[in-house]
Amino acid sequence: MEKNITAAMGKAAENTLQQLFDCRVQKILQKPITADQQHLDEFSCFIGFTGSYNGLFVLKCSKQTALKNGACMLGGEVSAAEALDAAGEILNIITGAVKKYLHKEQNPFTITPPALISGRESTIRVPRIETYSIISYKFNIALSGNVYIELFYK
Amino acid sequence: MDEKFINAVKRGVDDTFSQMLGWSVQNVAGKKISLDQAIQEEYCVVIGFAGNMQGLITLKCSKKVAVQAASGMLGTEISPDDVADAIGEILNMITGAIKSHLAVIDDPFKVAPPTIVSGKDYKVFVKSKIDGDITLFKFEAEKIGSFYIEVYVTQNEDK
Repeated sequence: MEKNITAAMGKAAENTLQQLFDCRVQKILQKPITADQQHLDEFSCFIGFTGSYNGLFVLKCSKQTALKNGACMLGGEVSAAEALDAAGEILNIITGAVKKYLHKEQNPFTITPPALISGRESTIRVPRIETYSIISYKFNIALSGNVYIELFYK
Repeated sequence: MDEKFINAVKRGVDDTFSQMLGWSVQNVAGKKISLDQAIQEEYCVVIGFAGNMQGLITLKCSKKVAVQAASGMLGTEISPDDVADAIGEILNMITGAIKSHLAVIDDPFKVAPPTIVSGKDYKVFVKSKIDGDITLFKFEAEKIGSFYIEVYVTQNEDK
């Protein structure tokens, strides 16, 4: 079951990013990490999920990458707020795709609305009392740069 | 946000702080706010929920209040990780208490894990075009300081 969600996440993210940006998307990394090895970046968004699987989907990228992604999605120059919104929407679409990959499982999860965070000096963590596995994914989007996705699950 | 949910938030916060920390907290303000009026504090915990109702609940407080709360729960020797864990657990319990006060609604929502955001220069938002309201509650804990609960909630149309 663990393998299902981590594999689904990798495939869903790669396919979604390719479809959204219509350019070469390369998965550079997929590996388990500890909480203190999390990537830090200027823009982050996360979506909680609860069901057979519980946890968080987190997407992080630089402001510059988010602005380029937002411009591509919305068709023109975008503000930082719109770029952050677009990052939340990208993560929302990816989580929908993950759920599709898990369609054979009964009630894999229900998602919560995205929360968006701007600021390089912030850290995101879940309480240590909850033992989540964390998988880190790094994708390079030819159009805009690197996007980091972290999957916290149990 | 309807009156029932507002009362559930007030009771949930009051129950949690009195039972876990022995703090007497007073709700000194509660109002609808726009996204750009959201409070920024050094610590922020976010819990998403989904079900018949969906949304986000945040607890925002200064480092001083967060450390006092963690000390009250864990003792005097505490690390920054302990502080983050403690305030995450507090919002988890508040959310559970809110859910129990809404129990007349059949399974109002399921709760995702708490996420703790900390740092000096960051902002936490919900998406900029939202369907529901954000309600800000300000609470005062005597001799300790103030903290804020923000609730963004919508009915799930798919349910």
